Amino acid sequence: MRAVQLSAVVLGLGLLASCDYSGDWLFAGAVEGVPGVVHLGDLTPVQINTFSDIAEAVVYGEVGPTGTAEVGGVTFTFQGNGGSVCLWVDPEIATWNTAVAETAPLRRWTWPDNVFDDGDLDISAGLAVYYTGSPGEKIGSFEVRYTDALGETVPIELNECSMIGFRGQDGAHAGRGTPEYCTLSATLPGVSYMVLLENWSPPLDDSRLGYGVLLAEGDCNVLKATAGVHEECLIQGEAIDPSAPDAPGPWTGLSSVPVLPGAAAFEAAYCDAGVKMRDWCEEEDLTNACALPLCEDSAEGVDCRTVKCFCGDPTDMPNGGSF
Amino acid sequence: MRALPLLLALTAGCTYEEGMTIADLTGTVVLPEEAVTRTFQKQDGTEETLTDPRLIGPVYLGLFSGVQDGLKSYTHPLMGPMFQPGVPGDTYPYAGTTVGDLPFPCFESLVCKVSSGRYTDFDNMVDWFTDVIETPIVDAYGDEVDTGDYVRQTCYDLMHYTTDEEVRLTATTDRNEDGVIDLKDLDFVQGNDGKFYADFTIWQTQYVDGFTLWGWMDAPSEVSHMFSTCDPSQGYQESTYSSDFAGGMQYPDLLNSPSLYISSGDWVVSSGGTHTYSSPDDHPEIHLDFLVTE
Repeated sequence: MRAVQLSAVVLGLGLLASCDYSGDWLFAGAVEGVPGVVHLGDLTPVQINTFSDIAEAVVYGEVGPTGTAEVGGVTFTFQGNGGSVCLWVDPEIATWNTAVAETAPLRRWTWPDNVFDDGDLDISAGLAVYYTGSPGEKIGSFEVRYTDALGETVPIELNECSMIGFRGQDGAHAGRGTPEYCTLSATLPGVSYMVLLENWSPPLDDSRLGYGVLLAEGDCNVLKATAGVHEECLIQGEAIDPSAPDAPGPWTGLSSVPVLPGAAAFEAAYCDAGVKMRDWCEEEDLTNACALPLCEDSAEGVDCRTVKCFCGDPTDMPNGGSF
Repeated sequence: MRALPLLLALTAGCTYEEGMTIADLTGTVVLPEEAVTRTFQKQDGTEETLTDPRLIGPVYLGLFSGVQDGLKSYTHPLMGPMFQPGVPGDTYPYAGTTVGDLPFPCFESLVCKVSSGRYTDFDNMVDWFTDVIETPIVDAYGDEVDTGDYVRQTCYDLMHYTTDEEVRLTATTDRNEDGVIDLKDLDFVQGNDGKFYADFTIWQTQYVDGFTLWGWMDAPSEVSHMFSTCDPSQGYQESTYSSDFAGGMQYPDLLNSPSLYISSGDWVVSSGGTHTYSSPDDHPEIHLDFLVTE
């Protein structure tokens, strides 16, 4: 066999072999000590009467990547109580930039979002009996398969956590780390429900996605009205310090969760309608030199800062009007 | 170069037969004369019995895994599991079509009362509502509409249309090519046996051997003259000057949950009138031969 023929055969075999790969290398690697699939056990819906009741009812934790192409996330169960139950999860300290900020919104972006704080969890829920995953082992879904009289298989989606999208469509998810919530109406008393928080996007810096989740009695719209704050501010403290000795949790209550230094001040400013975040971010840049890399990420001999910036890199701003 | 055929063979191995048969399924829908006949109590106290294609509502046809008697008071498609008490299981239809649909009717007083393919012209429509069912069309100013030209002009104005074909409320095609547009050019045409016949096509359907054709005719309400398959809050929204209304449209799950919309007075295909396909070339004649009475 001549060399050209051999090359062609090898090329052909290579083409065939290329069909067989897992794609794991395209995804974030596993983080030691931070599992990619977490089960929080059975939680109980909490009665929320005032905004101050929320902080100590929130369950916090961290979840990492699975280390493979398989999706990961967090699950927990609860027992139906015959009434409505609100599921609320906040995966990121604050999803914001001045284009979408609560205060002084601008048509054009002035400050970039902090992509290193940009994890995203997508929520779904339904009767536990329909959940196809193995809690703590493997993430599933609420899709079951029905075989009709002709033997044809029909997928049936039994997720009861219905979210309405920006254009009014059902089955939506909030984007880019925005809090997600939904109400399960008229839950069946004593029947087990499963809640799935799918790890849609781990943060770029350390892949450790901190979150806060609230399971409350009643309708989410009532909860929002009771809290009387911006959705991003209903759960606070989800910027968890990964260096905390008991990380990745879980923890129950804001007073017990180790919050990243500086995060509480940032979140307080964001949630204070009287604070202009542009001013706050400019001050943060002046104080912390946010354009420099964080020391733990910087190469040897490069100037770096020691304090984390929450407004993003001010030198990484898009041009006015761009996205 | 002898390796080239090998490479081409390897490449050719990437093509494969999907095993799908996509076909336009055609056939005929048959309505008995009784389904197109109704007795009207006139305002002057008299009765009038009419057999008129304007009484034919939209006909919905679907392809299902099967049908069964006993599920409802009429033959009904097989259903999947029920997940909530009181909510019927989904029929999971394979495909479907309609004979006559619900075009924008141009007047709020006509919302959910007009099916396409039933009126020879606009005067024919005005006559129906004014003289037969005695519920005249009313315009945006509350005035009675008494000419077909006014209906046409209103449609043209609201929709920015310039032809009757775009309006789709009346017959516009000389289907039998006899030189005139008349009753014989509507969707349903009466045969010599008194029955009404209409051709249907279920376009671009993935054929599954053994699926069953079933359907029903949504008869207009005897009280409101509206179709129960029509959602008056949806459809094209007209908001111009004194006009502010939705044009109505079919509910999205008519074939998935037909029992939610079938009501007394509708005509349904009985188990003897369905057709189970053995070939995409089948050309069935499907009979809507059962009157729903409860």
